[in-house]
Amino acid sequence: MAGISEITINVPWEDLQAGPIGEYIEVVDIDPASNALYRPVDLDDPKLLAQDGLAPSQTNPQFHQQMVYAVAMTTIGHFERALGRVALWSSRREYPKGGGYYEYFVRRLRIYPHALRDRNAYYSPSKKALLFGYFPIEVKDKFNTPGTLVFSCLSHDIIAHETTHALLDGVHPRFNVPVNEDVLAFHEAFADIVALFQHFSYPGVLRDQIARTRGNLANENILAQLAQQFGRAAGRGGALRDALGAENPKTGKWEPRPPSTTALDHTMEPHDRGAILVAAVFGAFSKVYHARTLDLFRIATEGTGVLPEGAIHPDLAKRLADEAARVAMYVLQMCIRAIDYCPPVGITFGDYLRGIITADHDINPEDEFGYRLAFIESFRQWGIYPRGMRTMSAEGLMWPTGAEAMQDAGVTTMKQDEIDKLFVALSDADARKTGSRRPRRTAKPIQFKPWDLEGDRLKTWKDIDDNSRALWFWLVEGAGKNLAKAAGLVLDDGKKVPATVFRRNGRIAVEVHSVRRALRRTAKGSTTSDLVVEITQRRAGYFDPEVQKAKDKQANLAKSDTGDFRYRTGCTLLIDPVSMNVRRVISTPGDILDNDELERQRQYIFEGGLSPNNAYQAASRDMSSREPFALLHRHGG
Amino acid sequence: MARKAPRAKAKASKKKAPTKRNKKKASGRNKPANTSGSAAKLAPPAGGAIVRMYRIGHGDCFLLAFGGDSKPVHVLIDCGYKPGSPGFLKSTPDDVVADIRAVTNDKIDIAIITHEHQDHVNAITKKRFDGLKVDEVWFAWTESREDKLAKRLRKKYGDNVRALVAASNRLAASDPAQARRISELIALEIGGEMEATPTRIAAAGTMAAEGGSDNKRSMQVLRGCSSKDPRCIYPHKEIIALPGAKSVRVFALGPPYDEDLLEDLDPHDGEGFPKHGLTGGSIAPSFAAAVNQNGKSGDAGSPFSARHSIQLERISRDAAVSRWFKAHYGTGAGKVGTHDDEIPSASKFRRIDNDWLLAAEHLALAMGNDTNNASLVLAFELGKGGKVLLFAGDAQRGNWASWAAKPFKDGEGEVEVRELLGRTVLYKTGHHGSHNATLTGNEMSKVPNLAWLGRGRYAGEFTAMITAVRKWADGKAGWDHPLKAIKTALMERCGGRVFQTDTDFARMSKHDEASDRSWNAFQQCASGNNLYFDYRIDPD
Repeated sequence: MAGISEITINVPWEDLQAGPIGEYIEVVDIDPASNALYRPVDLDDPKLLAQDGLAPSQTNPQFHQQMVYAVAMTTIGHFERALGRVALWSSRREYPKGGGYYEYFVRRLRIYPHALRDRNAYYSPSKKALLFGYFPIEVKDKFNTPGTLVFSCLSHDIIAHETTHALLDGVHPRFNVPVNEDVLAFHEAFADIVALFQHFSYPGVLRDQIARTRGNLANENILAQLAQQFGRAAGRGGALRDALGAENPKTGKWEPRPPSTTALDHTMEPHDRGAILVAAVFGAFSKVYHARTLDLFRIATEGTGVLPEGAIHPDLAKRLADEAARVAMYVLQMCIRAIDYCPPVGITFGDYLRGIITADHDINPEDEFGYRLAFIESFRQWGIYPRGMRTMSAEGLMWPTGAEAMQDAGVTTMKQDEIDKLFVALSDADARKTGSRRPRRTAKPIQFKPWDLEGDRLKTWKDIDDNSRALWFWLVEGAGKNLAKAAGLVLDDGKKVPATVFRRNGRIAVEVHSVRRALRRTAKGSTTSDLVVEITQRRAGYFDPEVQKAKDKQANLAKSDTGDFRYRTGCTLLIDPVSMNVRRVISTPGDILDNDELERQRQYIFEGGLSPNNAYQAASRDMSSREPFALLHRHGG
Repeated sequence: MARKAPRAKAKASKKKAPTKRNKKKASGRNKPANTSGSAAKLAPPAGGAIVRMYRIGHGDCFLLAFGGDSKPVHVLIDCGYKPGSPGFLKSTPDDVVADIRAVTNDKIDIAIITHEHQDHVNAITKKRFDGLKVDEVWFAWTESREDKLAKRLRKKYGDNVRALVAASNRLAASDPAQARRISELIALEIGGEMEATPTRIAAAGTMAAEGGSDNKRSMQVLRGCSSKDPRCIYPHKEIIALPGAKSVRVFALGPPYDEDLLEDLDPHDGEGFPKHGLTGGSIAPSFAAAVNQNGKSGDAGSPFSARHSIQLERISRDAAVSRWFKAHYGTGAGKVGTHDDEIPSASKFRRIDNDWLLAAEHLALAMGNDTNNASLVLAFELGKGGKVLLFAGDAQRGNWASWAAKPFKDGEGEVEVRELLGRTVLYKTGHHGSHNATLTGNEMSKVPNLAWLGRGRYAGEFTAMITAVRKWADGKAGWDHPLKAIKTALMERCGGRVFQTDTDFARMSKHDEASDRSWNAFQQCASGNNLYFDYRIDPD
């Protein structure tokens, strides 16, 4: 059935050490369960270079090493292109005895292709590593031979999926803290979306299927069926499993699952819920593919649109496949780009839709191919919409601009010179107030540096720290205060604030997490750039609402008292450094003082919203799980 | 008396009264039935029953007395607890067994073990049960010595225990917390009355894998109390007339028996897959091969031939590989320097020497779920078409989902499970009220769930029993029993009529939305002391 079992993946040139170990990835093939190390492959070996690397082989671990490297690099490439910056992995945190924490740069994501003897593969946020498992097949059916080994590291989709988890963690380290029913589901769904559309975007992959189904992809949902098979191939269903359709047990035929506006209401398990998001994105893809190929069918059938019996012309098959790959690529870029347009904590599917629409609008205001419309339509059919949204129009879904947010909040709109002050170097005294997360002091002066895109990733990482400090000062102490208020941040202004709100040096803490640069090529060919800033605040939350009230009223909170959970709020700001314009303000639904939002989270975590993984441990244990993805992926089946 | 409860409910819903007064009344009535030391006999009404729920600990022990043909018929269901949990209560397992013996005059008519877990059997010891006579012992079909499927499940089960014990041993040094959690789960399987520690598990586990566990010994002791062979019960096969109380009929709803499983080699992992209650799953054999190998190379599960691999202890013999390995994986402290910005490549925190063993916890959970799902689930019907007492053992989703698989043949007619469960007036909550052991849903849903139980005129009398010691579970074991959401749902459905092992009878209170009449009717039928709760169910 599998039409294509071999594809050549082109990876940009870089100097590689044995492993392979490059700038982003290090493959270390140790298998502790087998008490073995597998010899690292040297892809710079001239013999291998000449033949496009090792030929596919199940039995040679060096091919496995090459495979994980190539697919992971491809996924990283898609991210860098969509986001317009170098990819960084999430920082390592160390907690010194005196309290607080320091952050360290992690240059490479580590990949262990044979780490587990288990039907599992996962990204470990604490080790900054991907762990792949292998297992013998025990099923005896027409597709499988019992006793043969299945290697999860040989599945394109699993590698892309896990790499995406790591990349998303690098952008949003808080997206694996389940504070509402969408957070974990989003991580899974997003990883599946990237894996799926990356797979479709390889040239030629779809040609075979298109020829066989006579191009009628959209109607017969062959793409959806394929999507599922990709997921199933390595013995792991993933979110795709049930979203797009299922075999009807009576007829034995595969039937697509029609969109349902109420599906989300009664689906809480992260994979099942994530599957709905994948289905919604897939629906958008189908709609655009269908619209864009109608003309080809008309041309091929002299205007009737009805194909004659028999095989379709190979040229038509090729053109249709190209079209499908192109749409897949654009959808992939849209989906990745949107992650810069999400709130820093507590993402919901509705937020993500707003992110997709806004990000695409900012880069391509026209929407001449109807991508945004297709997304809105498909998401509406699946009942995904932002909470409290008044309309589902493209315009209504867009996140507010800085000026709009300030008007809505009733604060004075910032003047140009106030924005300019962001780029003035801090005095030594001011710089000291800002505090660094790096153990070594940074070079002076602390100044906002928006132009440091190229070059060493360590330098980029260091500049983020400097920039965070400069921005913090501007927002909290300087001219940016009005923007902070408009973005839903709570600053010290003499009013009484609950003791549970986290403070640093006696003041309400405002944590600037990252200031990253995004450079994008618009549809018209020009480039646009943004600074993406994420800011959060936190507050101690308690299991018991009465305790919460009491603690809120205290004068101070003991330093050791961190509460039963952390309630976090915040915003993402997109600032255009060229026009000195606050392009977008993306805030969480409530601010740090919002007791209703706090209560909503408390109920979710402790009163049945977050479902336990098993019959023993409490669901809240997942909040602090060391390997949050290990368990999640096991449940994927 | 017989018709009092339903009628009381119909009137009472019209008015509400503050709950506090009820509480006072209740405490006034909290007379222990057993004050003098000599146990009061259980005197069930003709055609009715008394259920004595022992406060044995975090575990199950029930003595049921049915109004019999000539004298009361005594049925014992389970007798076990998690070690450590009785410490949070005011009586001991010794007191419990002494009371059983006194009440029954050392003669139990039927003794039932729902499933072979520590917290259901470990109080059954030679010392405590010596001289006790049991007429019939009932087990689930999984205990059958002849049944092919049962034999196959037992074989896999032994392999699983062996692998998990080995994994727990290896984790004990590198990850004690994890090893502790796994030990607690293994302890369920092997039993005994000592608290679980990795060391104890290591010793007991090897024997357990060979079939010599404490749980097995408890089962053996019980078999020894009877002169007959145990009766192994299959679900949906027949309606069993309770010996000695012919009007009482017993319906076995689980564990599911599926012959397809014999052909089905696919180890469906985890609980909760929809088709079967018992996974019959084995721990991935390659995982087991590696743990049992204990750190040596070349076990059966090794994925590659020797020419591709270097044994870890031989890395140093190859200078180039050794250099590479030290630089990129590392062997030493691998700490980040105080003035570094970047983590060193050979950082210790990135190593994965024991990560593959972490799968053991999941496998241990899966095994626990499998055994729970092997629970014998019995519905006792008080007279044809009468009230139903549902004892669900520790059934989890897979078991629940199979209950309504087919109707029971009843002479010429049939009894539909949905209709049968609708007549439930007492529900022994599955698995300490945990996640997945009481399904929620609505009346229309195809899968049996809480909404199916106690419907129509039976709703006003619907009562639940949760065997849980919250403080113990919350402590060392870190178990969330009972789950708040399930407890809340039960309190609501039962109008407050929810017994829980660790909650004194006097502290039980009416749910805000329940009527005074139904609560008063309940108070007429219930009592409790430090050792047990008694609950009388009158026939229709």
